[in-house]
Amino acid sequence: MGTIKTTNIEPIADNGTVTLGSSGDTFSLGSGVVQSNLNYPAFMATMGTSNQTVTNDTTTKVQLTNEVIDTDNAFDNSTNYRFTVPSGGAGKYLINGAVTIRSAASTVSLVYAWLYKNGSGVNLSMANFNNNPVFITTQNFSVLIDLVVGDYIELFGYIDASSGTPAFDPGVTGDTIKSTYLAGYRIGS
Amino acid sequence: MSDIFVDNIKHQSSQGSGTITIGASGETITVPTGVTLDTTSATQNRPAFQVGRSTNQTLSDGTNTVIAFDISRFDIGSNYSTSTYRFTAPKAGRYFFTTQVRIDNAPSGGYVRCYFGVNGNSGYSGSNFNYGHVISGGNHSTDYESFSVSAVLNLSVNDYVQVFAGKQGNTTANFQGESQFSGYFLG
Repeated sequence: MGTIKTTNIEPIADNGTVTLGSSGDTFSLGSGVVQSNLNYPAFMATMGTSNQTVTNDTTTKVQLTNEVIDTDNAFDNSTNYRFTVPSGGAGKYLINGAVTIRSAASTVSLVYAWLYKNGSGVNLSMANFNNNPVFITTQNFSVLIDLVVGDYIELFGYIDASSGTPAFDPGVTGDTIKSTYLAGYRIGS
Repeated sequence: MSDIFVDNIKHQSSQGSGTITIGASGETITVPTGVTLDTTSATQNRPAFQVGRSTNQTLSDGTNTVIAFDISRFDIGSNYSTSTYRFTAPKAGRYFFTTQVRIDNAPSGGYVRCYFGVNGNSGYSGSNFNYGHVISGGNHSTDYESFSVSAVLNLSVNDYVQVFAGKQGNTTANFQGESQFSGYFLG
């Protein structure tokens, strides 16, 4: 057994590659060792504290103004409300999203929660309460998607309500418990 | 502080089968910002897949049916079969699975359910489906609705996982193509 004690490992040439092991080898983190940055980039964004009023029967982007996690400063919470894959971040991502949608009591008959990738829908959670309209509902999804550098993802919602003020709702208990969000992290290449 | 400049690190005696341990308890292994940790290690190039459905599928009354996800969007390791609709574990460990299915014509007074099955079984015990399950029924019945289920399952080599849906009621319920099934190896 050989032991190397050091604090940095770098390639010989700047911007080079350090190859660890060969086929069949196992790299094992010692018990209690922590690997930092595992599953980065990672992000989670929620709405603020106010409802977002939306136009009935219109697919609308959810304005996720509150960043909970944004490890790589890749989520835009002020203009486009989107996560953009940063340099070095290409790979498979687990994405979770939810939209809480409301209007007047017993008026909401159709709701969608969309995951958009580069401006187009790629995943959809929906409910049609046509025979039993509701006051409020949350549609959620969880999906693995393949992203490359520069790809961006966004959360959209849709409501069909017969009356009231259609809106996306940030959550409950004074909007401190969030039920409208978009979150994700990279699981690997 | 000391630096090692190197291009390869290999096991000293058994290249191809040995174990190299990084760090000791209490230490942190840092991958600096801008460094790409890629791509051939077991944890980075882990089994992962996402599959979808090309057409609608009828659900029979009182029968739990395997959802026939027949479109592979990606499948690292080729562990998902679009003919048997199974993800088969290539190695033992914990796996994360998630699915989202759209079911139309949920029967009023009846129910619709969706769950994961392992080796063809629901894991039903007492009142629980132990592999992950959701159900909607009674007055909550809808014209259509998306069901989302996620679970971490402990699998042995060659265990297989499928998505099942079932309904009970007077109407003809359909599983719709706007659905997906995803999973990956955790460790």
